[in-house]
Amino acid sequence: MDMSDHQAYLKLLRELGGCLDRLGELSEQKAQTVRADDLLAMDEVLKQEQVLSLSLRGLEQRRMKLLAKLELTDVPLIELPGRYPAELEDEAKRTVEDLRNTYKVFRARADMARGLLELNLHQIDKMIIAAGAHPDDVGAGYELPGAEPPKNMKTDFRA
Amino acid sequence: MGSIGTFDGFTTARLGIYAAQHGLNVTGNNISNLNTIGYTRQRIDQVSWKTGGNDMYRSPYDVHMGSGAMVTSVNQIRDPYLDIQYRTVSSKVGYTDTWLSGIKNITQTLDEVGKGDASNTNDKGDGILYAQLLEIQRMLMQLHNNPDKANDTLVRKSAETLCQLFNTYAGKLETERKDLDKQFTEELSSVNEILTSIRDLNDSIRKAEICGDNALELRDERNLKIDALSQYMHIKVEYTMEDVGAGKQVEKLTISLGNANPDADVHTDETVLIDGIYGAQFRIKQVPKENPNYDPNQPFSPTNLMYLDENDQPCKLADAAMVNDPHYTMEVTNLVDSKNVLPKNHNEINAGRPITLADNDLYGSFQAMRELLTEKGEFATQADVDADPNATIKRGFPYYQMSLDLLARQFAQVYNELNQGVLLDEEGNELQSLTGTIEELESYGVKLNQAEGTAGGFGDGYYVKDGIFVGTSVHDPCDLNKAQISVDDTVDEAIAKIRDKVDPNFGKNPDGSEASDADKLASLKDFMSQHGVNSNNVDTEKITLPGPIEVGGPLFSNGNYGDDVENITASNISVSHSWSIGDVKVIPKFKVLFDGDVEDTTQNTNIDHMISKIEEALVYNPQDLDPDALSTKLFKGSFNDMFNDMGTTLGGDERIHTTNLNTHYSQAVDIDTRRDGVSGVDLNDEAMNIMMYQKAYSAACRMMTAIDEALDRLINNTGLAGL
Repeated sequence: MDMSDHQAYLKLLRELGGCLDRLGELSEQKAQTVRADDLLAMDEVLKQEQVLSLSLRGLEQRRMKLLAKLELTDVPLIELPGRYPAELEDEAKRTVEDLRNTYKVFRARADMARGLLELNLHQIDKMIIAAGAHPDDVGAGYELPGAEPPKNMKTDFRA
Repeated sequence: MGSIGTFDGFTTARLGIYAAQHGLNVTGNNISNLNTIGYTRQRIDQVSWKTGGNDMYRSPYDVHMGSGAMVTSVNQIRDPYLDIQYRTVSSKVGYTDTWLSGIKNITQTLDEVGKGDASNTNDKGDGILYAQLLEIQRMLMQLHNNPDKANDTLVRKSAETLCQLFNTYAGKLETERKDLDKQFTEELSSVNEILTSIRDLNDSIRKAEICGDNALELRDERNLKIDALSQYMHIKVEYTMEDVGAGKQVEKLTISLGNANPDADVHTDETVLIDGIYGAQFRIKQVPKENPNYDPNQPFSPTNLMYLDENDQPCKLADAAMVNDPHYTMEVTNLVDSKNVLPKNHNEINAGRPITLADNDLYGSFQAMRELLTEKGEFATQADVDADPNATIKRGFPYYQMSLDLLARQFAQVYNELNQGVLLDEEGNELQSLTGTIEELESYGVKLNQAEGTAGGFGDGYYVKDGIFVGTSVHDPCDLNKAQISVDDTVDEAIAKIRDKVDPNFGKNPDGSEASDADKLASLKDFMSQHGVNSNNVDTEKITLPGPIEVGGPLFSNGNYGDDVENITASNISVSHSWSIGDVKVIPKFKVLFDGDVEDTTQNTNIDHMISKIEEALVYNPQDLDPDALSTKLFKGSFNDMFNDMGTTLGGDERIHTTNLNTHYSQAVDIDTRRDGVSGVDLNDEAMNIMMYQKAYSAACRMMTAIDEALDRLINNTGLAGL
């Protein structure tokens, strides 16, 4: 097997980390716009987020292809360094660790932004109910927290 | 026309006054508690009161009117959604905050020892450990140029300082770990106290509710306790209605673990902690105390048993002392009430208890403390990974302690190996023999000890190697070596060996009878003297040693009382006893050129190796420390790189947890602010309420006056025409 494929995959993981990093920063910005009740700014952030989400999806597709090429499709991220050639093992370990850490930070920031948005939506719900609407008629307007994304759009960083 | 009671108006006005007064009182109570922690804003619930039913023969022209306002209850203003959100985030804050605090303690410890005196460090941020390694390197260079005893002593002193640094690091880390262990035990008590308080509050609230009181102040107290509990672990809080008979229902609070385990097949993470008036407690699982000296390869014996009893003596399982599980596995006990009585449906709700929680069932500060105390990162074993798939990337105190141990062990191992071997000739083959004076032989690292008046009365002055007397080149040492006389032999034993191997008549009179003890000793000394072994000329006479000639010995051991090189750690690494008393020295080289006949001017290559090892990249294998560890490579680099890598790892973890803590904390503040907006006392609102209730009160009083005047008119001034 070509060693360059292994290196290419690590490069891809670093790109993925960069993308998650930017998404995390956008989540922070989104939270700031929510706190400032600045809908226009939030709209701008959401547009940027959408662009990044698309590139994330592109990266994910590339990742799946490369994984298949490396015959590592079912290997969890945490076990990746152990399956790498010895000379790239250290680099793989660092890359995987960086990506996992980036994901942890992104996850926390994204949860925070989502939580904040949900708080505001909850407040709107209350206002609508207070205005006389029936509680059953008040839809949250967003997916429930338990909803899972389609499997092909999911990356299991928890391994 | 409706029927109007003559004095109804008074009642209506009076109820208005009551309602307004209640309102004023509640508003006053809110203002009084403006700064009370955990106080929830109260408000009165009032309804319009109407008396009487519908008359059967009610006139269509009859009009029913309300009879005033009734205050039905005083309530709190809370938003359960915000409570749930706050408590979820609170556990995240608790988790990251505790992790961060633990990491900072480790950083502080490593920095405190690592940075040391500024004069010992360089401007690259390298600490005193590196400075000490460089010092050893410098001393080795001096030894390389002049491999004498004085320079060997200087190297040893430097090595002793390095060992002390390792010992100090390890000691401080262990102290921090023990402090955390103590803190965990204290926090465990706090959690159990909170659970007990909530259970007891539930009981009080229940009783109050049965009597018709909402017990709002008790609820505030309970909410504070629940908030506090949510920092320790992820919890789920549920309110249901409980039938207490006679058609009466009261609220029941249930608290369970909040499904924190990512493994969907695990259900112990939903264990009920509080069920109304019943509450459970946490405890650390108790396990039998293991005997660290138990050797499974040896048969069982009174000293080789698996466990230790209360007096730390080896024993069987049945007699073993019980101690806290080293993995801090948690158990949840039975649900009992305040009198320690089990519920009536005990078999149902306490089924399977005590429940042993899985490794990831908790979240919050409790879990963070457990992880800090147990997680070993790359040193994790299969059992650790089975319990937590992410065990290899979680690094608590054990990881840093084991990394330091591995560094110390690697260092000792490298230099011990370099300092032991056999002498070689110029071709690199084992030297067949070596001749020289004691001093010359010792310069090659040959270990020759003086016998110290051991058994047999040989006295001081005899030189021995590995317990056997060595001869000199003047006399053939073969007979002595053949006899294998040891310093530990008694005179009779030594004579027996000589009779057996060399001369069957040794120590006998000419007639074949046994000589006296004094004659035997004299014969033995003569025999040894004839073979060149005596205490008078060993310093000047040359000794020939047969090959293979083992030289050197361990430089480092697991304590200064011996030369044991097994299980060296950062806490016990020491200069070996033999090196410290001069029996072992740094071996300058293993090759003996020209068989010692010509002065050797070649380089001291072994010291070169030792010098180069300071900067050489080595692989650190966790299995060298723990054979059960899954990972085979922790790091590759020099000793200093390895130490720096610990700092880098620590820094990375600190950065992640700091970022996450800021994120979670800002979210918690956001939610708490909203919660305060709903449940907190707002002075503007209360000022408005004061005015409103004051006006209502005045109006009700004015109404009473108006009715009084009206009735006065009716009673005293109606129908008086003509009087």
